Amino acid sequence: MTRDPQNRPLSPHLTIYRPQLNSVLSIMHRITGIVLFVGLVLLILWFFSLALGQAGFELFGMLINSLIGRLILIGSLCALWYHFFAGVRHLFWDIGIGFNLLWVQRSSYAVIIATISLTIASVLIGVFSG
Amino acid sequence: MIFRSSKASKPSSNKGAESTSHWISQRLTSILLIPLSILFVFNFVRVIDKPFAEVILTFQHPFNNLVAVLFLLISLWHYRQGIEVVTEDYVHDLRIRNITLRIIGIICWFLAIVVIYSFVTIYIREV
Repeated sequence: MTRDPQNRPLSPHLTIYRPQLNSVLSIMHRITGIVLFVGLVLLILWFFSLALGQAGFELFGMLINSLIGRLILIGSLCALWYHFFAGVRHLFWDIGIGFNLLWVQRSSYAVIIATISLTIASVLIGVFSG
Repeated sequence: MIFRSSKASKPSSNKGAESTSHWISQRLTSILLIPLSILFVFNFVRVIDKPFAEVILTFQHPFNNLVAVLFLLISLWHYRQGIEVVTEDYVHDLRIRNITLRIIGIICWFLAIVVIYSFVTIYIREV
């Protein structure tokens, strides 16, 4: 390694970094944020097909009703609720609440439990009203 | 290999103020999306498998229509803000970064126009 002050290594040093619950949840927030674009575009296309009329809507409905469509839908719901709760936790950190190791650990478990609960709840509501 | 982030060399005269307002507006869209996500998702999962006419009628209701439009437009805005931060973190070549940011901006504006077109059409449609 050269001693070039313009070219210092960037933290975190991922090749030697030991993954922990908090670091995994942190990168998960970013990953879910990025992949939610797929769900957002599909959602916009769903409304666009609704605007096109019955034929367009039913054609797009076949895609949504397929196994892949359902998997993307449930995956997007899961990603959305995770990003939602991890994001709410970030907003609390921004105003200085829960920003210590004990509460970060506790809220990590709360985010996971809330994500699973809300994903199951929204899927069940969909199943029982469909 | 270049390790150094080029963020420090961003060619902007008031990058501090720019970053602060970006940070604040990102929190603003986050807060707006809290109630909108809850209202939209629980509304959406109830109608996704319903027949065409029923879905149209649901989103012709002014409240549902407004919630859905705001959710989609603010989500697009929030997505753009988030992806800007991600791009600034990982794309260190300034030229490629600026091209990436411009493409993302164009895609988000295009999708916003699709959203507005769709909801105006749905709202004025006769079933």
